[in-house]
Amino acid sequence: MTTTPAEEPVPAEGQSSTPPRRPRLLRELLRPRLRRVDLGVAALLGVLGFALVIQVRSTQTDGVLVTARQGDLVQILDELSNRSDRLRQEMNSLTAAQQRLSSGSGVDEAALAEARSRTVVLGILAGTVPATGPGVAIRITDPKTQVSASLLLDALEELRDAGAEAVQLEGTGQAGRLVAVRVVASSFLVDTRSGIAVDGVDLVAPYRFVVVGDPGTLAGAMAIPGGIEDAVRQQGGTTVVTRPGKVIVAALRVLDRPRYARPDGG
Amino acid sequence: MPTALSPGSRQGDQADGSMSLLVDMMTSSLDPAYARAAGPRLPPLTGGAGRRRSALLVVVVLLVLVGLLTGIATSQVRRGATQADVVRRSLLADVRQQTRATDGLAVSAQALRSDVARRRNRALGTGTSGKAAAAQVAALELATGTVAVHGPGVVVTLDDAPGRAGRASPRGGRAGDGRVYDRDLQDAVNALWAAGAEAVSINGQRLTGLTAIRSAGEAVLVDLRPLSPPYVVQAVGDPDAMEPGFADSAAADHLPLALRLGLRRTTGRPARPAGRCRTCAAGRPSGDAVIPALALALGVVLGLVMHPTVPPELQPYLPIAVVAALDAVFGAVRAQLDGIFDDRVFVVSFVSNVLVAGMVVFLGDQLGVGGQLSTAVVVVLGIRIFTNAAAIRRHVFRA
Repeated sequence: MTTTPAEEPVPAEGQSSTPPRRPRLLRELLRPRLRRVDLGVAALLGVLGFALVIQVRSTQTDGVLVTARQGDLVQILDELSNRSDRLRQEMNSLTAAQQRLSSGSGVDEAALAEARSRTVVLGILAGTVPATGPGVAIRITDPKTQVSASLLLDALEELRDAGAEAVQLEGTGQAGRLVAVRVVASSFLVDTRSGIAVDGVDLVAPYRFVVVGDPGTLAGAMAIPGGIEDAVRQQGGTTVVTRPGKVIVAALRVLDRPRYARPDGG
Repeated sequence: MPTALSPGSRQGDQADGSMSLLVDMMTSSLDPAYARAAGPRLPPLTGGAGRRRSALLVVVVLLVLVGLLTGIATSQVRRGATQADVVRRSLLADVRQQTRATDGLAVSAQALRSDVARRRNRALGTGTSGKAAAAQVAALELATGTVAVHGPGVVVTLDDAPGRAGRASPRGGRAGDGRVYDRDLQDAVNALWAAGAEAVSINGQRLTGLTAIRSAGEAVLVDLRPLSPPYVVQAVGDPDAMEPGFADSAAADHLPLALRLGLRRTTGRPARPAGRCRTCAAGRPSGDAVIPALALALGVVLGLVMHPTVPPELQPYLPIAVVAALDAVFGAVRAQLDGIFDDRVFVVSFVSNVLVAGMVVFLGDQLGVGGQLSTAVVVVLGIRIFTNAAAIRRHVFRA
């Protein structure tokens, strides 16, 4: 069934029409027409646009997790609820600080106090301030010297994911003495001949992570099937997780002063 | 011997009409139905009356099959899945909801934090001790990654190797299937820090002492947020030290064997000149563009505003259905520009495209080759879309 518009000249069979000039083509295309089948076409295109957006949205947000295992999903839920608890706590203290900073008198003292507390919080993150609190100590032995820096890095990421707030990595240093290195965002681990090096400090096994955070979540993160404990066992080592009730991360480091990174807007 | 891949040359081998369906879809990307509907005005794109009859038979058989499979699928979905599936689905829904809630909290917390910082800095701005305190906070924020930064550096891109298998790998293990997992990203980031990076982000997620890179199944999550490849790792620092430092590291040694790895310096990119329409005109317009375009736009707006959740049973079919529908739309636009557009043909091709694509994916899932079959469907539809797009381009740009 052809749908030739009445105004258009019908060319003879086999001939192609001369293309109309551009303004006329535009006018033709833009003239709206309201026929039943046109509405059907419009409805279908509307549905397509709708479905397109839904699909793009769902790919962006959650389509990626479809292949995750049940245990992983439970772990992610756990960590998400820990994080939202922490956020709520932070928001409570921030609201209190906001009130202190907006009242008329005593603003200067409040601002100084607020700066001091922010310095402490950021200092824990930067490794310039010691940290203490509930946490775990994870001792990894390596009798066959097969535990790699990559495996310890994986353990560190696992601990971060489980809510570690301050971490130090201990091992036997060059002089045979116990050495502790504070681990921060920019820490890196590389393999050496007899062990590993953390931020350039050589360590040999046994290694010990001292971590401040929620003990249950941290211990659970190590014990995931196919995770760190299994990987260490495959390399011939052992993993022992203890919960001393209160851990102290006392190792400090010098504050990083970036030479190339500049803050945005400043 | 007529070759199966040349259009218009199939005069005798119509016995296996069903086998040639897929090949027909690929090679004659403009639905021949439009040409037929245009009647004697233009020569049909493929010739032969016998071909029309067998095509009709194929269509009828196809529609019966589609109806049958749709009925089976809906009844199966209604009967409900196994217990494990139900638990999994509710877990996924919980994760999604909790992620949304936590993201909302994080946004409010960030707003509060900036407000408190602003008030604090304003109040501190006066005395020397105040200025010293503010400077100390600023230095700490810079060092810990709590403030956005910019500067020279390098960009490392990790992507899944082409042709990877679609199965989940053991957690944290390098299964050698060419996919990027958390270990690969961790090693790459570690190498960048070792080479002197001062700030690192993955797909825009800044890495601090509290953000972790981990895998869950085939997904990679950074800071509890799932990301999809390619993974663009940006590192601010001295490019002259980082580029050789990264290239010489142990990570760069074994990463490219399994994945595609790109390393480039960050530089300004020259703007590309906008395309210009030298002459625009083609064929004969035989319809209107306003109402369909408005309808498409309305659908997009509704989808953006309403934020609906797709039931998990339909989720695997939605992307294929959308691509199949897009194929029908591209064919329609081309037919429009060729001057042989017909509304009814569009409706039929739209609906049948979507149903056939969905049926093929469903069948594949039942047979256990779901991933491969849906890839095949997407490839075929993609070829058709590209061919139609090229034809449209020729019409619009005369090039």
